[in-house]
Amino acid sequence: MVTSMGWSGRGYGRGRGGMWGYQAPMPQIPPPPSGSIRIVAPVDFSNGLNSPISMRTGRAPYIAVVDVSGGKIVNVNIVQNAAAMAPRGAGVQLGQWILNIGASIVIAVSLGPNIDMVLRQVGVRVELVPPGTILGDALAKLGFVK
Amino acid sequence: MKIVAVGGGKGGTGKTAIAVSIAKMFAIKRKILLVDLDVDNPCTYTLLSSKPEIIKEIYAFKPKILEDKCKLCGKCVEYCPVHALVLIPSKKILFIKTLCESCGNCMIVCPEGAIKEDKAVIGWIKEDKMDNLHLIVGEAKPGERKTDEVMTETIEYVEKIAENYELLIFDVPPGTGRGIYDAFKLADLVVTVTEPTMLGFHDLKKLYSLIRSMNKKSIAIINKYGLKGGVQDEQEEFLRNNRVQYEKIPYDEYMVKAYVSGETVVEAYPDSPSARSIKKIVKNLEKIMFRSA
Amino acid sequence: MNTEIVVASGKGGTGKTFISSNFSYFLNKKGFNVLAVDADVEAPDLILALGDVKEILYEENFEGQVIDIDYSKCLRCGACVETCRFNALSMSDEGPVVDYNFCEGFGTCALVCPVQAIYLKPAKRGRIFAAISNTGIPVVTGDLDIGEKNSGLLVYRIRELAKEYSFKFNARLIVIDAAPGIGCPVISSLVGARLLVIVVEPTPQSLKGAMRLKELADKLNIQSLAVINKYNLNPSFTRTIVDALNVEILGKIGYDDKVVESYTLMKPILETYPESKISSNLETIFKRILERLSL
Repeated sequence: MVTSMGWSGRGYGRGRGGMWGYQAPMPQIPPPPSGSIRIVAPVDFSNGLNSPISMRTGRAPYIAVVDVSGGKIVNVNIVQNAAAMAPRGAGVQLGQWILNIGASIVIAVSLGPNIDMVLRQVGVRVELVPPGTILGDALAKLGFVK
Repeated sequence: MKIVAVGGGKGGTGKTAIAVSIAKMFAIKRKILLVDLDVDNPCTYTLLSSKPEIIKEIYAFKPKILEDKCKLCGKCVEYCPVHALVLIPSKKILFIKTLCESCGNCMIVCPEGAIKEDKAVIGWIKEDKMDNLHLIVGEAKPGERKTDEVMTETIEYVEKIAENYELLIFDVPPGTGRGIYDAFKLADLVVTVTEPTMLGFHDLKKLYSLIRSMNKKSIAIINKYGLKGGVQDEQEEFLRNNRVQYEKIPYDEYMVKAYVSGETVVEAYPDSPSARSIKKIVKNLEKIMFRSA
Repeated sequence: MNTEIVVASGKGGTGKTFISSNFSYFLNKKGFNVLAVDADVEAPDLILALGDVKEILYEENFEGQVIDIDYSKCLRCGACVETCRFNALSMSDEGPVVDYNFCEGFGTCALVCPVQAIYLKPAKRGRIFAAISNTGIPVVTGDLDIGEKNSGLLVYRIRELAKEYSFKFNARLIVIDAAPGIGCPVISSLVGARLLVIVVEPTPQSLKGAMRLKELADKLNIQSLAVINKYNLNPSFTRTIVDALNVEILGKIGYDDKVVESYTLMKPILETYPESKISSNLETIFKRILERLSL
């Protein structure tokens, strides 16, 4: 999951391919294209921009990764959240991954204490939305998409 | 010097009140050490009107990252089984103390030797001396997850001073974890306290799995015996089948009254049926432990 | 979309299960399809309080990991025994022996073994299951093996199973009996819930635990309400709680023989003594909860 000298916008966040033991690693995804900002939101099921933002974050079933540039959506990627199966520290594992993939914004309903702390360390912007909010609507309402 | 461990499955069976009663009664004639191992919520001292003071701090291993040596390779993050370490890209390694299980993996895998052994307070050992009855309390920091460690350290401390006493009584909390195992291991006799409810029975069976696997001598006390609808018959059958000697303390209004006023029933209502049963149990324990009348 | 109501206490033994079992029974009688969840897997008494198991619908093992040794590679050097901070390894004539009561599966030993003779493998730590209780209310709960502890992941798995069964039973309301304390299993019980009902008894430890629970719920944006149980143990401290705890107090319940009896009989007090003062206090409290939920 993590090997080279921290994050500097290059590489895919290469790792040994697995967490220590039997846990599945978070999926690998390419870095955000240059000029775009990356937004992450935990969602309850995978339905593109119509995915509902989950009440849970650390153990949400899926994570949506949206790259936006100039008010337009460049990429939408919805992945299974391996951190949901972490025996402990699910929020931390997810938070680490969010840092690794270069996201600068997180949209969620609520954040647990651990993931909150991790995201604060790099000043990731957190936007809280009401439960049931649909991803596409949140992006529009928050002004990321025109 | 003899050691008795008083254990019970679920909370609320009256185990602590019984352990304190036994301790107080023995302390009339003998030097007794009562050890409260209910580190999450010790309450022996409330029944003794005691205010124990801290005599020792208990520590657990925590890693300390030496930032000048750390190359941010992230190996420690990868090998931490509980995600207590986070790599803040290009900045530092963040350590989340509350998740740390003190396993030591990070220290071992760091290729730069940038992780040193440090420690953090996870609890305290407290003490109070009341004539013949001395009290040691193990107490975990609120919210601390390594409660077994606090228990084990308290037990180790007590082992060193145990020979000054004629009888050592451990008040062991519900559960079947590490700390409980360590207390039972030392004991000459395990006293299990149960109540005739389904959950009490469920926990009694679990506890006896542990006791049998450790081959420990034990006696059982069915507290609140006679509760309407209780499963005391099934419990008695279970104990007989396992060849465990058992005693009964009847459920009476005096136990409830004493509980409400924060006293032991032997002090508050010494002639009540429940108090008399406890006295009989203590006489029996005296015989078992010291082979005297 | 179902509504999850968590009953928690910040400290064990205050009567969480008493409240959550009677609340489930009350909702069921009122015509709501309710599913009860016991997240307190170290003391799984919710189903017992609801009449015990009538029928098990589904069962699965809950796994963690432990280490094992390939003795064909092992040099008997003892490095693993020295390294384990949980005293799960000891040296015998045949080589290092693992005590599975204590092995946490962190694998520190594997890291120091000079010949990589130690590996990690999955191990059963307990089980989770769904069942119908004798009061007719479906319950999702678990049971832990000896020496095992509750965890955030286990609670998460139980809640996932509960959501599945809430659809099968068309249960709009889920009542969760949380683990005691304020650690990971409790956080896992709370996240995403609609409402927290804090059960507090008139002792300083219980009040402290309740205040920390409230802090946690606030951070997670969950509404909190409180019930004072066993108030007659200390009526003056009960007043202290009302002042100190910055949460709406729904009502007070006394400690009484009838409570103990009902518990022993494995029936909610609303069923065994419906005309008692305790039952009427409980009903008032539960009606208020429904009002706060606009139901």
